[in-house]
Amino acid sequence: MHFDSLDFAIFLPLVFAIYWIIPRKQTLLRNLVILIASYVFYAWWDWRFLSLILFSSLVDYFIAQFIGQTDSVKQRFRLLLVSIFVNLGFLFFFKYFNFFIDSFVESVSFFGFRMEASRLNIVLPVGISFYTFQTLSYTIEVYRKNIQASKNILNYMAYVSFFPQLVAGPIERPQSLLTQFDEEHKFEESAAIDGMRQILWGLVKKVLIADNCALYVNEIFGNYQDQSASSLVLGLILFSFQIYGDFSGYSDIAIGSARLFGFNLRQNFAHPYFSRDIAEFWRRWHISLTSWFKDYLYIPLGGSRGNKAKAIRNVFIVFLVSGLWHGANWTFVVWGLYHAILFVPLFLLGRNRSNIEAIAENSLLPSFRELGFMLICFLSVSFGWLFFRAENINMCFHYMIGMMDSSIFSIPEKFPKTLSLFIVIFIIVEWLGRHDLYAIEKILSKMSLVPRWLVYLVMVLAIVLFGAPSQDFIYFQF
Amino acid sequence: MRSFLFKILTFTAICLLSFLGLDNVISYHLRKDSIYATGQALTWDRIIHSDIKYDIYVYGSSRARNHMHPQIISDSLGMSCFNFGIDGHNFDIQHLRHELLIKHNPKPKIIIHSLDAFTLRKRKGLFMRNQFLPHALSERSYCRVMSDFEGFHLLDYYIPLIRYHGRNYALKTAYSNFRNKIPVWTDRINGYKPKGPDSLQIGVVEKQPYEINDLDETTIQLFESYIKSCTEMGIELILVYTPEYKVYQSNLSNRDDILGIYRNLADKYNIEFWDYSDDAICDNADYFFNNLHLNTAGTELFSAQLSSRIKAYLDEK
Repeated sequence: MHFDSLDFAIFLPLVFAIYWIIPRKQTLLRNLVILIASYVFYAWWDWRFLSLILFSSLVDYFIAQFIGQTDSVKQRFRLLLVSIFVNLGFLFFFKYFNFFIDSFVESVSFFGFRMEASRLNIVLPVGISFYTFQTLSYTIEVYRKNIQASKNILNYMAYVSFFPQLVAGPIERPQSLLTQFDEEHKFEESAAIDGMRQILWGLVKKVLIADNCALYVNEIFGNYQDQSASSLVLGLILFSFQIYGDFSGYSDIAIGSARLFGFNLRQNFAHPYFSRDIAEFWRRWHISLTSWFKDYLYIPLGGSRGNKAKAIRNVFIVFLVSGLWHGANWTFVVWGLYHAILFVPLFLLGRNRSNIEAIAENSLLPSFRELGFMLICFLSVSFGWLFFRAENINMCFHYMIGMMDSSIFSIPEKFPKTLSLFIVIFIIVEWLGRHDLYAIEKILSKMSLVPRWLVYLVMVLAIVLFGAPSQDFIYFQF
Repeated sequence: MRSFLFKILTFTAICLLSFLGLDNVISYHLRKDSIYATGQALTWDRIIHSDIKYDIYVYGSSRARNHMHPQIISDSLGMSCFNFGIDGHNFDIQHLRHELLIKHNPKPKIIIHSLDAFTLRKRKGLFMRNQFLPHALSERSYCRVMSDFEGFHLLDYYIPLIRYHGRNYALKTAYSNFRNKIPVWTDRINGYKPKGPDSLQIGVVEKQPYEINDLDETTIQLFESYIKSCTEMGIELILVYTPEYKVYQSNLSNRDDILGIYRNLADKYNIEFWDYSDDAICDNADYFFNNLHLNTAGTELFSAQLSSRIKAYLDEK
């Protein structure tokens, strides 16, 4: 069930109505409704993989119980390893088995050996990378004694499978989301309205920006050999907006939907294309994943402690694993590597935290210096998306060669005029709302009722009239 | 909660009203356009708005549309004639058109129904969907018939505007018509549009043998009930298998079986079935635009022949 489908437009109000009809004190019953709704939501894709979520959830629930019951450090660690092994085992099998088999065969053939390997016909369960990380964070936090193991299996299961963020995040921590399942939720009109507003903005990003960009991007990447250099550059720029609109739009709808039920999810995107350097970009892009890697990989590896070489090694490991997390393809590994290479100089110069403060905090427009850095950062990130979007390394290489041509100064064969206008408006709105959780959070709430509703109406009409036919959310494949 | 629900419902109502208003504007500027969707939207509009008063209706696919010149038929028989041939559609949609014609307009004296080997097949996807957009909300029969096709969304027929989502061509046309004068196709003669210049002969080539083995049982039953109802209404129904290029005919291995179905039904209900498969026109590539479609010269010749035969038949009767 896609967030931009009519199925979801019926599903969400239905679950909303059932949830709030249940008296406030009946938290368990409400959580049961959330759990059932989440399983229905997931089963809409493929009911067979519900067993996987169920199994993964139960394994972590009981392991966390055992961890909580013992004080033996060794025993706790062994139990944690079992959890990691089971979760990453599933992830490895469904996502990476064929990739590693193929890579192994290729590397063996490189040395002159011939090997026949049989690939498995494996279907990748939607959202496995997201919920696996979420359950893992639970056992790790119990192991670290940051939280107590949940005593309520229903609340815990609802936490793992909470439908707004089940298939594409934000990846939540038990401290923030699981605890909310223990609380009584009182309906708050302002939160619900804010949630609706964020859903609407998410739909604008997804249907109006991302899906329209996808039409051009698919055509350009599909026939990249026949495109002029300027078209190839345009393809990359449009893909930058597509992936941002697609993923941050999804996150907005997820966060907004959760707010309708009284739940607060973490911010996942903080206007990342206004970043002034790559370090700032990674503090603003897919925040829940970046912080997950920081807390559960980078810091355990030693983080920035110790000598520089070790710290750089840790940075590379995190970026490479992050790349691989996105997909079982060498293109994602190169994408991770590319970002590590961009990040390390800042890290070495100690400037990776030099842009902590908000951009143009007290002025309407950025300074020329800020604008320049933003542009450089945006172009660097956009170039990196080539590795993300291309089907294989060979394609990346040919695409790059294609961009190095005198036709780069020509006007692209198919220049999307209407879409460009939408993107310009989108950038302006994002800029105006750059200090808020999502762009229209405060801009619109400051307006009086009639103009505000008029803007909502225009947004709805724009989605219906100018939105492109629905495309799959890019991050579902991860 | 009450206040929230009130706001949500009010905003939904405002959205729906706006949808309805915009839907009407867009649909109006599409259905009056004789070029949009090759003029089919305008034809549907005339049918639905009871603007059809002709003695003879021509039904069928693109072969009907291209093979029967209403002016020639009209001049020969002294009766008004309109060609309702519809590109790419088989009997299910041809029947929908007939149903609406009978529902909204005076019944004709004669129906000339052009048949081909594909008439009783069922398409999976809805061909040239754009023509159905302007009336999808107002004409309920559309929803019933379209529900059989892939890509059908029930809400498209109940909620205004959403069926135009992603339909850039329709939206651009409506916008252009809104700003400028709605265009009129001047080379149309009562639904007929010549397929192409004389003796162009594009596509008159030999193809590999093939077989049609997916005739749709429901469509066959619908076809039979259609013949029955025409007979009951006193409409003179004439089934015509119009010329196909001879070389091409032999490629279809079960052609005789398909024609046999038409022949048997015609015999059963005692109506005319005229098969032009062996007509001299079929041997002459100069009369064909492609294997299945006559060119202008072929159409004029065939229409004249057909008119004479109808005249003789009516005189005899």
